[in-house]
Amino acid sequence: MPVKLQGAVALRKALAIVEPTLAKETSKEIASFLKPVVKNARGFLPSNEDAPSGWLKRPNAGGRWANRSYDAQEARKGITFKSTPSKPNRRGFVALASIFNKSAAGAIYETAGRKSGVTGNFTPRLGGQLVGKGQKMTGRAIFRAFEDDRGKAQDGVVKAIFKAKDKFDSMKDKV
Amino acid sequence: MADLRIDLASEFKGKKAFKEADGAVSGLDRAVGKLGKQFVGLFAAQKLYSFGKASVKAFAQDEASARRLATAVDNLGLSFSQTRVADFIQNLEKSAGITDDVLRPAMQALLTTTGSLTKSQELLNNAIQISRASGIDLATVSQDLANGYVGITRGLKKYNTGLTQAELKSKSFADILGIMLAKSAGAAQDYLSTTAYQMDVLTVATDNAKEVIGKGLVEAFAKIAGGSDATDAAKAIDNIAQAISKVVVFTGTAIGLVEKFRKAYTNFLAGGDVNQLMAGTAASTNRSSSPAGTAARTAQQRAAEAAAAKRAKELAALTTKQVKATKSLTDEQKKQAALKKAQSIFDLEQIQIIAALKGNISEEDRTRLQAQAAILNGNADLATKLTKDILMAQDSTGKLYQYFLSIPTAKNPFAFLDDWIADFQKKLNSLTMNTSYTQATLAPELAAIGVVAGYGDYAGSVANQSPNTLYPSYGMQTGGGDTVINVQVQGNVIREQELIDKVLAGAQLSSLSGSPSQIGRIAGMFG
Repeated sequence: MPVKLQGAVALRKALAIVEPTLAKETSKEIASFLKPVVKNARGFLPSNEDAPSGWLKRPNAGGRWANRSYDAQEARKGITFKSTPSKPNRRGFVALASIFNKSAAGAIYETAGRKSGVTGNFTPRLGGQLVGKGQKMTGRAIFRAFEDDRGKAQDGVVKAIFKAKDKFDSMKDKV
Repeated sequence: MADLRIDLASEFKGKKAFKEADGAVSGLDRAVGKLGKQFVGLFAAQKLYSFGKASVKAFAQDEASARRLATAVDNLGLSFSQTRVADFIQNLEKSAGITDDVLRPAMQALLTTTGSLTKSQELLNNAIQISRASGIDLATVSQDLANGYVGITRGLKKYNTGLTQAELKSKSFADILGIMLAKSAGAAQDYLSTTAYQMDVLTVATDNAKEVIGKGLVEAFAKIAGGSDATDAAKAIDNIAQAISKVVVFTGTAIGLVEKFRKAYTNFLAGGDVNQLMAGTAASTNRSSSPAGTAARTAQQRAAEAAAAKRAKELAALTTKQVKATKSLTDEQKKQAALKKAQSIFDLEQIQIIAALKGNISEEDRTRLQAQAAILNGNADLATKLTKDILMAQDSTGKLYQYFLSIPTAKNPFAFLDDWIADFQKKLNSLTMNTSYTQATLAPELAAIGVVAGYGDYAGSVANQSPNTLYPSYGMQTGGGDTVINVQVQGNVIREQELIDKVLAGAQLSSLSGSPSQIGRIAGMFG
């Protein structure tokens, strides 16, 4: 679960207006904590050779599975991060930093079998390991990487925001 | 697609939206509460209606099965024992945890078969024990026991008694029942300590409650409908159903009605006012009010028992007779078999073979003779074995024997005749005679060669036939009168005596010339 902060969005807006340099630094610092997680998550994705052969892109494929193929490069590209505040979600929360798995194939690899179990003809052939806490926070790529990170990224993001706050406060005092 | 993201830090910014949502939900909650309250009454009424319907149905089924059993008891001439039967069922229901809906048909089957109340009670208890042990339902077990009582023991096979089909047929029912009871001993008692039994007891209690409530409801509904029987109750129930279906408008009315019913039913259970409303004749218990009632009942029961015992005796006698008949038939068959064997000694072919076997013959000939004897006696196994020995002796490689085995069965050489006859018959059947011949138009070429009209038609040809003037004795005479055919023969025709004289003269002449003739008078030949 994400750490809930109050006033962080306002702080970052203020930084962007008053101290753009500090805002950029803060973003960079947050990114430095997120990058290893993303890199690790990308490493968990299988190469095209390791993916189930029937799931790979086929030139003559038709029907609904025509566009649901796996491409390692595309899946790797889909795993990204964002260090700027997001839009509020349905429950009213704004994320200050996020890690994404955006591609369809990546999402399938991430989540296959986390509800029904590793059964059937497809899921067991995916390999990898479903790691995480609870169904919604379990996966083979970003969730596994996040779990392996043991909260370092989360702590780093929070610290970076607090650091920015402290710097901003000190700058205000100076002014 | 699922939004796959990990938010590492977040801030709650949706206060306003939540406030709005909270307001909306509160409003909705209030509305739902109000609506819920409105529907509670209707829901309760519907539940009560459903329960009432189930109760009435249970009561109706219970009443019907009780009535059936009562009729069966009456028909057996045990009308004074109705109460005892009812008490027995009721007690068994409580002790065994089996509903009366199951017990009554079982008891009825046994009663109608045995005709004895005590025997039926005993068999029903036995059936419960066997049912508990085997897991087969009580109705089936009691029906099987009833069948077995009259000698139909086929159904008892499924209880795994360890008896063969023949033993089941030959043994008496008492013996078979004894074996079955020995194998299921203690099953009924063991069942009483199980959770299933506790559940059964609960089921029985629930069913009974339903029946009691159903009875009350039927009577109450009937009274409300202004009548006294089930038809009136059905009318009332229909009215209630219609009332409930009109969701909100009639909710209050329906609740009031149900409440009214409930009060009426409570009064009925308490023996209050409703009892007066439901004035009617109480169901007869068939319990005699006179001091002589008990004597009449026991006398009736004694008579029934005596009749049942007589019937059982007759059945036993019949079984003994059947066994005896089977035995005598078997003996007769044995005798016939022995006689057949004795007859075979006088079989000429066999005598010859046996005589030949006694002589000094080679081993191969002995085997051949033995094989013939085996074939004559119909001993297929021995004949096959000896045939093999003979063939193997002739060709030790076994090829000859294999060839013998591969020879197909000899075909009927005249089989083709059957086909030919069938084909011929078919063709014969297909022949059709043209009975309606129509005269053909005379072709000009036929007319040119002098054929007259009416060709092919007998009547026409006769009409056009010119009289035979040259040989009046031949052909058809169209002049009318009888047809006379004269045969003219060239040479002499002599009489019989003249012929005899001629033959005699010829024979005499032949004898005189040194070639005597012998005339066989009997054989009618001479030479």
